[in-house]
Amino acid sequence: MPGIDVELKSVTKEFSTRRGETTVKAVDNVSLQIMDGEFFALLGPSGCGKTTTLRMIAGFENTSSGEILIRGKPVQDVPPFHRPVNTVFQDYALFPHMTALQNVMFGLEMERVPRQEARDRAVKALELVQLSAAVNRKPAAMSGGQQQRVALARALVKNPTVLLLDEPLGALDLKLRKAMQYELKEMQKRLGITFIYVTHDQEEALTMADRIAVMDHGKVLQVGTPEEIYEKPHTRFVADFIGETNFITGTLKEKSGTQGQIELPDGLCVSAILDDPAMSLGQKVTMAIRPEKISLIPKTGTIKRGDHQEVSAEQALADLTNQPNMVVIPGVLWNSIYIGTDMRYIAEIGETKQEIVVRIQNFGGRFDQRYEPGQSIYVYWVTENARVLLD
Amino acid sequence: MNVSPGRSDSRGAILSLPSVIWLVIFFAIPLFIMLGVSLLTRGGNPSDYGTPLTLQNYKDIFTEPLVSTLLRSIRIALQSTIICFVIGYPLAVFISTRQNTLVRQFSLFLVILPFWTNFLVRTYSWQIILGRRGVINEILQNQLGLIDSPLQLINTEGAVLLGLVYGFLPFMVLPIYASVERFNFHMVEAAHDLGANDWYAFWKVMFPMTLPGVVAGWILVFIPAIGAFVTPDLLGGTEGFMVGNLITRQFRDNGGSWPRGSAASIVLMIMVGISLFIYQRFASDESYARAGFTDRINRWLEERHIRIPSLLSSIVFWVLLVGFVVYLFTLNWTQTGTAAAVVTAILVGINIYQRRMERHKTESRSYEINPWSVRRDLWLRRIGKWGLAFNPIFSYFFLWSPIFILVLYSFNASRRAGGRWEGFSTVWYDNIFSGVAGSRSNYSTEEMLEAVETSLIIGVVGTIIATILGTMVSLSLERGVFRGKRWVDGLLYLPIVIPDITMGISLLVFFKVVFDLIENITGSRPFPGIANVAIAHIAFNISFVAIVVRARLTDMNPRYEEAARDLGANEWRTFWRITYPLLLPGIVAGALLAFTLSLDDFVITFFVSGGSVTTLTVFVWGLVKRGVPPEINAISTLMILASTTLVLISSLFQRNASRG
Repeated sequence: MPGIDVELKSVTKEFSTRRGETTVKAVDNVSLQIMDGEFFALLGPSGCGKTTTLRMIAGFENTSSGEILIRGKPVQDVPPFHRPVNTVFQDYALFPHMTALQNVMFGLEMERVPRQEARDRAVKALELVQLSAAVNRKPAAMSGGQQQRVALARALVKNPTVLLLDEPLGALDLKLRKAMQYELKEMQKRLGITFIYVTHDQEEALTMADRIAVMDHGKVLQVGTPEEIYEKPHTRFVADFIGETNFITGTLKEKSGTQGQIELPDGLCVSAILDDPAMSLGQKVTMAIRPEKISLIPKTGTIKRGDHQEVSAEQALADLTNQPNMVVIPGVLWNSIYIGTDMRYIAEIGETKQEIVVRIQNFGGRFDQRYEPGQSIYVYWVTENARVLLD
Repeated sequence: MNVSPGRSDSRGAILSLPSVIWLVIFFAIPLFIMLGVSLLTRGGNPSDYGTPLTLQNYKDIFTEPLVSTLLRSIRIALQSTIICFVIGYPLAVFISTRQNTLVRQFSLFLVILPFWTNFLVRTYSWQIILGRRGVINEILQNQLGLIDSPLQLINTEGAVLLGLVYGFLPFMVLPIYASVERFNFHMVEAAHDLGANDWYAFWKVMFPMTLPGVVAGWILVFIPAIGAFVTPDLLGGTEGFMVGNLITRQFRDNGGSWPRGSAASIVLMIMVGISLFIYQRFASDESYARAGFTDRINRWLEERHIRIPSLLSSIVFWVLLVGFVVYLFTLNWTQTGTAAAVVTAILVGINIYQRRMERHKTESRSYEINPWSVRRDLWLRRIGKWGLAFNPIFSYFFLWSPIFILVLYSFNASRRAGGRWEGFSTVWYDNIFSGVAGSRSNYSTEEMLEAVETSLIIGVVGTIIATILGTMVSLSLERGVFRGKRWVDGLLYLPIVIPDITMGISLLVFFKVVFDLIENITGSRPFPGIANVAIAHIAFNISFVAIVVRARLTDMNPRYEEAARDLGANEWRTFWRITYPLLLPGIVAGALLAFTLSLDDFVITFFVSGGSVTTLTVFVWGLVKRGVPPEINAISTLMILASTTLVLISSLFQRNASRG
């Protein structure tokens, strides 16, 4: 079992406002355990405290209360230059008066590594990030992507216990960012160094991280693997921030174990999975369903199903309602948007005309069923895919 | 538009012409005439000279007793540059790191304001403090009883050094402030992150990156300090005699010699030229590259496969640096040697300590935090923080106490300009305006008001002409396209960096030559008058106006002008309808600067007029030199008040402009 590399115990960071009258909690009672060799992402909107958390681990900010341990050693009183962590800064913070090689050698110089050895190690680090050609260039003469690689090499050459990355890909264009995501992940696996990666891009976090901590207003809302975070969000915020979600509000009527019956405002009752079995009956709750987990059938006409099979809409509806654990609600489409990989339909369902987004993958060819705005439809989903959250 | 292709190649050159002509005639040619005179043989009178050509004047300067004056000047100038740097850098950091904009502007204002008050008055204020019966001696002797007889504070080299540091500290702070303001403090964090403690983060990252401002500061202090005349004259006596005094003596004393004085001026200019050359090398666009001086040495050694242990190279570097500074200040080889030994011992000690620590270092990915080095670095940080906190307190006290004391003593009932406090009185203010002569009969209200009037006439006329010419040349350089722009640039830049005494001397020589010529032709000899002084003031003020106006023009989006032209306005109407209104705040700021500099100027006026034109500064100079009547404090206070008002108006104007 891998050990804990970085541990935060109820860490809080307060900033006083300009006049010093009130304090703002940038980081509020955060506890985290980051394992050895893990790719850990801190994810949240801007101002959620993720960067402050990272800066406290690096040592640029003091904690107001709580404890930070790196490999079991408390580091509150250790200045950043004595901590075994290195940072890749958002703006790279490359020294403009030094060449790429000098930038990478700087950290080794500070460790008093002999010059020749330092140079060899720096060259190797630049090779690792595929930048051997730009060794003697100054940052001003490099592209954003190259600067990013130098920043990475500069931090990696120190063999840090933990590498901290503060939105390192934020300044790159989309194509390059995708390529670097893959490369970073590969590098992390190969080197086995613990990465703590701050980002506001949920897709980036999902693709790269082993585990994600979602933060908002200084608090950690949920920690888990990308799948856990996406499939089983604990709060409305997490569900909303990661991917796209439909929210339907209602009242908890009945429950048995993790199964619950939710009464919608128009009286319709649907069953769903309770995120927290301790929810009490009669409570106002929110149901979250991902758009890609909802499907459509038309109210009239025919529907293509499987190979060469066509069934009437009525038959299809009957098949659905006969299935257990299936929720079917009538509605009207009012918009459809073509977005390449799939179709996005926006429908109003039930008597309260609750707006709901449905995504249906673009299979192309004969499997394709197109719907038109104004068409009456039924939306349906499997009950396990609807999760009941607390607000 | 019917612009001929030939014309579009040299658009706007015509606007440079008036300034260029003015500066060539009243700045460049005088310098060449001075160079010529320095190569001539002296005659019977100081101002007589003739053939044959000789280098004797230069030989004189480089032999005793003059050479020791030259060396002293270099030494004092270097000392004041070093002290200004040591005080000024932390102060600039303090100001530029204030988060609150208002606090930052106010801290900056506190540095700038003394710099706008009259230099002569500010230098004189140290006489009140350092004099035999000055404030310090009064407190030590009569209030505290610590000493039996007054200390010799004034008329020493130390007093000159103090005066120069006081006078030129803002010149050091402002360019460094500009550099630090632009400096991204993320770089310091990055250095920390890579293992550099505060010491290394500063010297390896922050200092090299702010070096352009530092070098500019060094130049801006060193040049006026080496050419200083007022400060050593008022505070130095024979102990602090500098090149400026030497030159003055050659031109104004009976035993003097114009050729020798000219030669001394040329030597001064050569030293200025050398420092400007160094500045060019360090503060150009590729400044960071130049900063890697040690890196270059390292590379040179590496290419030749010469390995010098890092301990040895750091010992050599620090021993040379510390030894130079210690020797510069003590002129004592024993103390220099001691300092060098101490430095070596410290470096060797640190090295041994670090080696022992390195043995404890463990391999692989587990890590050790060395509590001793953490403690050391935290102490280092604490010392730095205390220094940074203490520095502004000291600096602002240093910058402002002489001014406060001057104002305070203008209300002192004592008949002495300094010394004991004998009660509150406004009698000296009354005296100024009632024509009472004070202690000696060298003062009259009429004379003073005449001097004020002369100053104002020169100031207003000079400012108007300099502002018009300066604005024209700015437009031409910023918006025009023509060959020879770089030369115009250089010509504009020189009057700012040349010591005022050199400019004054060269114009003195120039006007004499011109008057000789007129006498030969017409038979009657004109005398230098207000016009000559105004011409000289315009010659240096064109450059200052141009700096301010060009800064505004650079910030101004040229698309506005293009849009106007696109909408059918010709160049003339574009200027008056678009450029001029947008540029006006810059023009006004430039004019106010020119006006202040004109009122502030003493040295150039003094030399150009040969004493025949009495501006207010020349008048005050006369009072200070002839017996220091008590009224002088009151006059000085009023002058400070006037310049403060001027600065306040100008900054309000600029603020409104930037808001509009």
